[in-house]
Amino acid sequence: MATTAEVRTGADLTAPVRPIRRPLLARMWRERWMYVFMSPGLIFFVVFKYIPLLGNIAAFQDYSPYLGFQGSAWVGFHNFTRLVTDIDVGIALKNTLIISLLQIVFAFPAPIALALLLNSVLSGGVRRFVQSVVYLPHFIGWVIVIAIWQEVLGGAGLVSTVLQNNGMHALDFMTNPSTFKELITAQVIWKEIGWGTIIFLAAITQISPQLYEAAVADGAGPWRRLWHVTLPGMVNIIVLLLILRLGSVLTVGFEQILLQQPAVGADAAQVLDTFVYYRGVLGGDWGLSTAVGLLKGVVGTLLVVGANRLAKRAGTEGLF
Amino acid sequence: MSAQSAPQWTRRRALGALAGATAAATLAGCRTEADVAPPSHPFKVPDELPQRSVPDAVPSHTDGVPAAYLGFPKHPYRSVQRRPGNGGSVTTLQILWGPPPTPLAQNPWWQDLNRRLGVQMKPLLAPDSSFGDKLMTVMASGNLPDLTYIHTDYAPGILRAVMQGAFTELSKYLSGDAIKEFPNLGQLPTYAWKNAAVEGGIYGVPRPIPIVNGRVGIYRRDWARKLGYPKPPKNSDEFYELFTAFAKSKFGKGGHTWAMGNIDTALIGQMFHVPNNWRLSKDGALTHAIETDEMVDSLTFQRKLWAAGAMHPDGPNLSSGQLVDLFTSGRTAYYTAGYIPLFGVSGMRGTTIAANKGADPAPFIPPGRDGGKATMYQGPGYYGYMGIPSKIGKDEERTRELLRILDYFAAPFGSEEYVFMTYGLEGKQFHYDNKGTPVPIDNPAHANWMNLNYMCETQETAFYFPGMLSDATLAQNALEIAVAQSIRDPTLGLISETSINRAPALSQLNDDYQTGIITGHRSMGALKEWRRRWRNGGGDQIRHEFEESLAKIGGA
Amino acid sequence: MAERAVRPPWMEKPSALTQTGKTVILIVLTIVMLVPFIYVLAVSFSSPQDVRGGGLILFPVHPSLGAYSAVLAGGVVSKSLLVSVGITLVGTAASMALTVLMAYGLSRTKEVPGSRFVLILVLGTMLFGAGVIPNYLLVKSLGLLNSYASLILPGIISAFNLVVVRNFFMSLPRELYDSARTDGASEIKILLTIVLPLSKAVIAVISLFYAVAYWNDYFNALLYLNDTTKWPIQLVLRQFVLQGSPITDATANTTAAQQPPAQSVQMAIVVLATAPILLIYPFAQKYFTKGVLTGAIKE
Repeated sequence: MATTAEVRTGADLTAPVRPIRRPLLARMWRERWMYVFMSPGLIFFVVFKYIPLLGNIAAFQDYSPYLGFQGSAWVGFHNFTRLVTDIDVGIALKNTLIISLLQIVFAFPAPIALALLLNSVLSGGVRRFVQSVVYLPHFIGWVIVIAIWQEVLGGAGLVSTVLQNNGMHALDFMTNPSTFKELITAQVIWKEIGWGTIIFLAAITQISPQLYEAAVADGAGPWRRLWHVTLPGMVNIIVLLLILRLGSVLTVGFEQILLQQPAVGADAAQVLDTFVYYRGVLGGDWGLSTAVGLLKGVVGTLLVVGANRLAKRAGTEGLF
Repeated sequence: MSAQSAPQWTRRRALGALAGATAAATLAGCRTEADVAPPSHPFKVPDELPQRSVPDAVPSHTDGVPAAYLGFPKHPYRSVQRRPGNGGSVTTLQILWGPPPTPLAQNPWWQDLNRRLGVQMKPLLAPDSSFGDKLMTVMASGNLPDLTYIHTDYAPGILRAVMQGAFTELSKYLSGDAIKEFPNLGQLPTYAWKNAAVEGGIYGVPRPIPIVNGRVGIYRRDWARKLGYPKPPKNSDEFYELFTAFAKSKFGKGGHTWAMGNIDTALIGQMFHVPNNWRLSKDGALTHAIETDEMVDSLTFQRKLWAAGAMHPDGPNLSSGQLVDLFTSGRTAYYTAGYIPLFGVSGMRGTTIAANKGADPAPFIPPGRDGGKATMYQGPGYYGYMGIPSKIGKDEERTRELLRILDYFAAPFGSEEYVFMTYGLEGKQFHYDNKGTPVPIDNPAHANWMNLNYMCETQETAFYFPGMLSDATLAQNALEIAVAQSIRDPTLGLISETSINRAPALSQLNDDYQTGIITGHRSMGALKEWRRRWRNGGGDQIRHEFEESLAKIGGA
Repeated sequence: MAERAVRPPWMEKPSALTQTGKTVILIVLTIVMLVPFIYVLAVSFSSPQDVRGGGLILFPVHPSLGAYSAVLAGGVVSKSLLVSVGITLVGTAASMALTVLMAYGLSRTKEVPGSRFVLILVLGTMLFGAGVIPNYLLVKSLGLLNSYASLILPGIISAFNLVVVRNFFMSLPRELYDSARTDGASEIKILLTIVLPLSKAVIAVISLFYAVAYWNDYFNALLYLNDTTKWPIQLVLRQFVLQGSPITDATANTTAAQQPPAQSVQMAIVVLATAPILLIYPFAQKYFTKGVLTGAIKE
């Protein structure tokens, strides 16, 4: 951003202004308004998010809602050892990680690609129309999404009927355990791709047109402009969302999977959250559910911290 | 968007239970150190008081089968002699089906209810899809309302709370002939009291449903006739012939017909004499259904049915609503549900006849595989019960008042109170036609007035179908046949702590393998692995605990 | 936005191949996304007979409003619609105010001592959560049970939205801030006159996120409201999808075949529950204009 270089005094054009070392209290006083700005939010997080976290002591209890946190028996790490020694946890963990990986590799970049495509459409009318259409599926609940997919791709659906009428086999896509993870990912892409573009489109608006002009002046074609101007302009938000996605790596579409699990079975479709549902929630086993929640938090934290460090080393803002 | 994302699984579970699924039976109980001592006196079920005679009633001679009513009584009798309430207010935690009731100020029915009961009813209504969450959170806050709906399907943890003393043990008020103080409660079927009891203690007033429920289906007899099968199948071979003939036929709209929408393992299991969850041998040993040879035969048979295209290819994923649509639109030949959803004008029979010319959906009970009778499965015979929290139950007078209110809700068919609870206000919500049949007045503004009446009313055991009166005896006859050849789950009422925690996960495992084997995604050989995983996953432990519990009771 | 159709002077004419490729992709995409929605609309307006016939309905052959009148009659829905609109408006405004303030407060972690710690505190809430029971106990002990505030306060700031807004604030050219500060502008003035005007797109996006979240939420209402007359529309509409208790079926004397099938009602509910919130998208979209920074930096 050479245009603003004159604002700065030194030769350091790229690094942020180095804060002048002043006593801590003086610095805090100087930024007093920033504290005022963040205090309502901070109070919210402490009161509504951190105080309820105390309830996680249930992970170390044989918790009964009737007896309460005070009345329930303490069981130490029993809930965790039950988890670790359970073979079904292994299956659920494996499925969760595979589905998460598929989604990070395919479902995560899909809205970015679509945002870039939409961005390259010149006609404002066309762009706005397509934008307004592709984000619609986000608003349809999973129950109906799955019903619609069945109408089209189910064993008695539109495609199967056509195939059978032409002497071919019906589709087994909706009920085949071996392609279940791909099915889940495809559904997520279909449902969320349009909604996902919104953030990226907002990021593109913040890219200065002057950068494009400068790139063209340097002889850059469309692909090079994409690579050297548009993507770098989006990279911070992409990295941010990717780190957050990694933080929830052990969470994959609970309702979507639970609804479609009966046909393919738990060996193909059990994920951690459905495991908790059957074992903890339906079994009235609050201690176990809470223990899984804590473990997910720990794993998420490790991944977020690691990814953040990597991202910073790669020269982006990272998350924190 | 969340409006339609009502968790389908919960709904399916709820409706499955309505249809008499035995999930509640396997969740029969648990025990922890903190438990209160069970009632010391021997369990004595409330007496079943003689029924008052109602004109046009056809009583059943089979024990546990309700009467059929071929007409509506011209002069409903008063079943409640004194005003139940003492003028205060009564809070409740109830399950809500459908939209919330019209607010009290604009709701004449609710106002009249308060007047009739002599209390201000203050219900806390939780939708069925999330009832468990609401119940457990309210309980955790220590403020259970005066009357609380208890159902282990919605909140399995509630049974632990019952064992821990959260609710009043009511034997003192209800056992034996003490029930006479509450004459309408005395009309509730004995099986419902017995099966709802926890360790011999009565912790609430059950909402009765038929003892064999959701096991009698209906099938398209008109199609069967056209295919050359005028009579129902007499053994498994004939069953196979008929059901595959359905699938090959072109009766269905769009050229596709299936015999069944979903995989119904109970239907075939009954035919092959697979045990109702567990089989009890003479020496007190339990064998689970999946461990039996009958199960092998049943699965083999279903594999054949599936391969022949008798079941809808998306069957395992279909919702209850989709199954209904498939049958009423004439694309499946067999459907099953509870009696009220199945029979009558607004039931599946009526709907299907109205929507398909010449349709003749007739009751269907599977044959025994070998030409004898099938072994039908009994359910628990109740759908939840209304409990009184122990804090409130300390006050005897208050407890009696609350029981009198429940007594009002449980008014039997033929009584004036039943008319009020079922049809509402004459002139506003219904009127009598010239035959004396109560006809609902179609006014959407009044449609939700009564949506706070779901507690322990008796509509599901009152077979009366205005507009298709003979369906009452049709349903009754089918139920009589089914009950006569039915077996009870021998673990009903027994206590296994492992079962309460593990039963949902194990039934998931069982469903997986059954579906996998039937649809051909797994081989028959997988049965061995299935049994091993079931045993190691808690099955053996549950068996052990049930057997111990059984020995204690003395082989009930 | 007609002016956007004009190619910027620096842009070359795209090749015919690219152009065709793009067009094909966009058309396919539009169809794949639109057809299900048309299906939902068509089923909601179809006659019972057509719906029971099954198959993929894309046009109501015998149009019927039965499903809508079944849902809308009785007045429960209209009251809940008001509640939802109120919660969405008040909630979104309050959430945006708190989010923007806090995001700005956190946007210069290097200079503001302790703010990185606050940020980490916020991120922690995305990784660890409490179950329904602790949340219920908190809301109860704050005396918020059965109040409209219980539908807003427990989720008034979304950590995700906060972090996204902060990220956008941080990506604004630093020079703008420095020069304003040198000119003696107060922080609040900088936020209002420099940062916000340049962040219209993200403000629009996050407002949309909040509005949709408030609009769609039913679970807080389910847990915290005892009085069904306070229910928001999503909770009320959900109740129509359920099959209803068998009792009402038992007492009905009309032919069920004439009543709208569950499927139509379900689709009508999708439409009713979605349409109002879809209306706000075009307003948000207006702010997705490129080149917001053009003028700002030249100054």
